[in-house]
Amino acid sequence: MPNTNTEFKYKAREALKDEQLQQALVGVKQGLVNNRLDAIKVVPEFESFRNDAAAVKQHVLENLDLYLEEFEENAISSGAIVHWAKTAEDARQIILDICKQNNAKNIIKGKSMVSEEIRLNEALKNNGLDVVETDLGEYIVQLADEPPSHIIMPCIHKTLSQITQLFRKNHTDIHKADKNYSVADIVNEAREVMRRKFLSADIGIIGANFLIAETGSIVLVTNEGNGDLCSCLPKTQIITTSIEKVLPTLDDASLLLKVLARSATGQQITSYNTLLTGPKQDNDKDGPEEMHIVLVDNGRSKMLKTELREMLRCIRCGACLNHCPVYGSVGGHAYNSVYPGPMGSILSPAIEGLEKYYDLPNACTLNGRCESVCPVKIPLTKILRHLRNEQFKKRLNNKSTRFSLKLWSFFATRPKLYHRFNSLFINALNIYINILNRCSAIPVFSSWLKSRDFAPSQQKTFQQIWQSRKEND
Amino acid sequence: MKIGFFVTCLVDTLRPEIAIASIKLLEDANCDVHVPSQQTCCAQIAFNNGDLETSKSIARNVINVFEPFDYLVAPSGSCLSMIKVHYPELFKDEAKMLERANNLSEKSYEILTFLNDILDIKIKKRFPATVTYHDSCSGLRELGIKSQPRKLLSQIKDLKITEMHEPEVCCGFGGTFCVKYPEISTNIVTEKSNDIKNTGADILVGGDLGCLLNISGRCSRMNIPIKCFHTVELLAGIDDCLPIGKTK
Amino acid sequence: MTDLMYLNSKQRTDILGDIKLTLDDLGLRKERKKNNLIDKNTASKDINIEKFKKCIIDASATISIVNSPDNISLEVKTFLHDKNISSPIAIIDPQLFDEIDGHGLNITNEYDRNDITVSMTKAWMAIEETGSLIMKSCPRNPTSLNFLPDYHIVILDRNSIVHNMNQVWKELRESKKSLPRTINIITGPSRTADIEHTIQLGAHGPRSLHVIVI
Ligand code: SF4
Repeated sequence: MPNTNTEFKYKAREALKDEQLQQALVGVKQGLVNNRLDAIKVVPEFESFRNDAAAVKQHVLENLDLYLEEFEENAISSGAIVHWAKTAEDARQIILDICKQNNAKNIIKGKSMVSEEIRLNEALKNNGLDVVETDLGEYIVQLADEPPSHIIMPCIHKTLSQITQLFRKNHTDIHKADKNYSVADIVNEAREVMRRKFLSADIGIIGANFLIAETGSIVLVTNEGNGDLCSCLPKTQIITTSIEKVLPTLDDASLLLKVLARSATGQQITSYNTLLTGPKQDNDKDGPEEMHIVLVDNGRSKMLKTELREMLRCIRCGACLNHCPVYGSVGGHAYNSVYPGPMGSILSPAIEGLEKYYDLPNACTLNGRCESVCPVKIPLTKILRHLRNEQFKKRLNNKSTRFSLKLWSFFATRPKLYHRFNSLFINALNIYINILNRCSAIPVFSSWLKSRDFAPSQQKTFQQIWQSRKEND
Repeated sequence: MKIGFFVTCLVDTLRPEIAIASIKLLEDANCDVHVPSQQTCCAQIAFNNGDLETSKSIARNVINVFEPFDYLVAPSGSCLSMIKVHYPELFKDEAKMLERANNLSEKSYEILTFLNDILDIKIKKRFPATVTYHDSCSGLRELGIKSQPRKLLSQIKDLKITEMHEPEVCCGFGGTFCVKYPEISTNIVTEKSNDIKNTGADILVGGDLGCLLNISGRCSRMNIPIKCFHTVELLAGIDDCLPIGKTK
Repeated sequence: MTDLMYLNSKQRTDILGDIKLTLDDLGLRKERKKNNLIDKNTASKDINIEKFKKCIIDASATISIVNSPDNISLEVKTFLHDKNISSPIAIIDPQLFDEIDGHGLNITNEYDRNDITVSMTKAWMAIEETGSLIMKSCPRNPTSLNFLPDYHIVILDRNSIVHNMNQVWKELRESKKSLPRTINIITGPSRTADIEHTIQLGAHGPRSLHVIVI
């Protein structure tokens, strides 16, 4: 099947022209990168934390079934209800059923990438439910009807004035149209709007950063406190999470927390780290009466079978995005997938198919900066190359790429011909450049020459020069 | 010691001076340098485009050709990491080839690492200029090349090294990436070029011709007056050659 | 409902069965290796209150240290005065309530969740390494009191500060009781940097956090 998907290229081009986006991306490339550096500078053992964190996550993958069973058993005995969802569709169905049983109308949500992955909001809305994202960034992209563009900073692509406009349109009752809004004003306005939602919601849906097998608890990491309000106020709580998030013990969670916040936002620890175990207990003044945990597979157990396995170590810190020159150039939306950047270039094709996301594994210079900062040391470039190999085997790359590769390998495997070809090539190139000045007519060179100059330095190849030196000796 | 010099395809066709300078430095240090004519390229293009079969057949040739030497030396971090790091990966399921790939891997060196770590050469030159060094990605992250070029350069008298704001950030070359995604590549190399410009250096040096062609081409288009050289060219004396990307 | 249960148990078997097959077929199962250097030599050292203080302040919270519970009210008064707050302080913990009561502070144990400006709760433990407070939920200590108010005052016993998070887990395990519904590890007030990377305190939870160590 020839690939016809050019969406990434198109969106990337648009993104490069979007000045506001480019301005916002500077904050990622400099702000977040420097934050991380500052945060790890004061922790000399950070490298060994990374090694340990990678080892723990790898160990979990190698015993995933056992830890999931242990987690399930302990979660159930704490009073939680555990659901298993093989696909995104299954997960949505389970959650819709819970909403129905509870006659729910108003739903508040904490940030959850799994819920984005299973396209939950759309399903809830289509079933007549009122869903509000409570994480400020998620709320803003919800108002704008856009997907998040970064896994930890969902509205990183938006400027203050764009956000002010959104608020003006949506908060007609409290927004002051003539006022010049600062970041603080926006945050306060969101707080006011959201408070009402928090206190009147029937169900709170949140994600989980880790699941603890030892205790059947979930760990939630936030800065705003919205996730905690979602989990202590409504009567029913649903946790959307995925199977690879399980950890053996609480001590393992401490270790992972040490690398997560520093890699993500550059904090030593985030404002709120919360351990939730079961529903509210006798005489507790708050907390949900029911706690549902939805364990989503959606392609993960399949990934475990393949060379993509190590990708399941990912803790969604976003560091690879922040350090990726391609993400830094085009932002998150160009990827047209829930997960952007290096991790997304692996996860999206893995979950939804290499065909659909042909460009993602290819749109990478393989510079490796992502894996040099990944807190769980995922060999991202190795996995991206593996995906390229899969694409090659499935003949997904376009005809001209395949043809040029074939042509090139024909010569590269025949040394004599190869050297002859090189000498002819360099001669011809010199003629083109010096006499005809026409090298923009050669396909590869034309895209190079659009933005760069070019000049070979000699009329001869090195092999020719070396040959004549040997003859002279 | 007998050295098999791996020219690399880009150097062979577009910048022979780099090979000439490398061999001069090696011979000055009493190495017996050979350039086998049976070599072609390192297979990186095929490998990074997912064509493992072609990669393997090229890798077999490289292993055959370079096995007899005490060392394989190449003037490029990315080609060398192909040979040193990825050949063993390619043959992970073929015990015999794997052993040969590992043996070759052990004696393969990138030129600057070889000059500094193995030969420990002394440079007796004077060259008054301010240079800035671009850490090419494969060399830096797969081979750990960081201090060697700087140590070698700092031996040159009157040469001042000034660092970029972010010397370790990719230049956007990425082999076929730069022609498959030209706009993104251009954006990345533009940032790199601005970073270089802001150092105020007269010369940019690096260890990988791909990156140097990319950066010099972009700087020239952006009218940034910087001269680009491979580090070995500076170490061997550059008086008689034009900067990369310039014609007479 | 039975359909759902059937479906659920089928999916459960599918997922777990699939994983088991993979791990066994590919021979991936491996024993666990010990971590290298998790918090080795800290347990015996004394708590460095200055370090704790610094971490609290780095996290944009404030801290004061008093010699005896009797001095809490004065400290609270100053805090409220500085912030220009006259609303009643919501306190549920009866012991804390009694300690504060009768010192001329406006306190209440019945509050409207819609309208709560200041709250005062007790920390169960705290972590020196990061300046984090550990709040354990129970009838006397509802979680929402840590998140609803604009101003959150936390009372902390100096002797309950430990070096690191693992010591908190150890304490939890040793207490032999079942886990509380919620353990909050709180480090500074609520914040967001979602808009143009500007850090803004008081996103949804408290705008300011004040710790009083006894
Ligand atoms: S791949 Fe690594 S760096 Fe990227 S989000 Fe996952 S854990 Fe973070």
